[in-house]
Amino acid sequence: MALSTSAIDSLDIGRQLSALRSLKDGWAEGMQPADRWGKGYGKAPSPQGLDWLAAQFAACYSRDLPKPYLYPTPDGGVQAEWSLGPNEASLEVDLASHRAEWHCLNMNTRQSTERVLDLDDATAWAWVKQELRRLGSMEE
Amino acid sequence: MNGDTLLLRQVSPSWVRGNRATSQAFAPTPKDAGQLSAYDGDRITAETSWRHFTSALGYASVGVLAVTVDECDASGAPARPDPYVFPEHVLIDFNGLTRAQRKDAAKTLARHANDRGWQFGPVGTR
Repeated sequence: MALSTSAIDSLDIGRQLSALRSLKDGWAEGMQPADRWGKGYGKAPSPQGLDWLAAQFAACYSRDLPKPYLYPTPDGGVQAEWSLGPNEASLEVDLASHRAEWHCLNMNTRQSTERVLDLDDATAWAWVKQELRRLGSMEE
Repeated sequence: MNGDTLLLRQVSPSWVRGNRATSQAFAPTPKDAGQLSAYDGDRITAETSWRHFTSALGYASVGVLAVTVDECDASGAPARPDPYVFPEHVLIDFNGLTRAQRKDAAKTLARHANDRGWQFGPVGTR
């Protein structure tokens, strides 16, 4: 089952994560290469994992920061993305392990940065917020 | 197919927020053999490709974004015709890239595609 995009136009974090609860296994069918079509693709994120991520955002993310775009991943995770001036940043979150991979590409310089984070650790969120503020300042 | 040919990529409804598509729409996972499927824009229109994907094949797509052959080449993920599945089928191949380079390429292609705008759709968005 696919999401109704009209229901998730808002970038409100809670609403975006709540909308992912309606996904069923196979939601990304057709996004894989054509020779694998019809075999099922796209694991639904777990309700428990979405609860955890919503709580983490509520507790650790700052309201003054740009809201992320939140998308499901085929592996049952969630990917947060930000477009900040020349920078395209993402945080790929594994809802089971609570591990996340940060990746950011500056489209002008072609320089990219990567970092593995434990999102149960408050210092990881502090680093993400600091990085987003730095990237946001480049936008101005 | 030449450098300016638009490669038409279907996008899952779950991969759009507002009008912005995720970079995942242009990123193969390790399970995907490092490849993405697209339609050759010289051989089929965006709307017809969407109708083929959603009606003939029965899969969900909110609309069609596009990158050019040159953009794929420049990102390190070259495209080639692969008419064995259906005549207009194209594969974009990320196999020459490391995991980090694949993320760079996906973000670059998604930025190009989002900047270019929807070639068809998005359907069902406000």
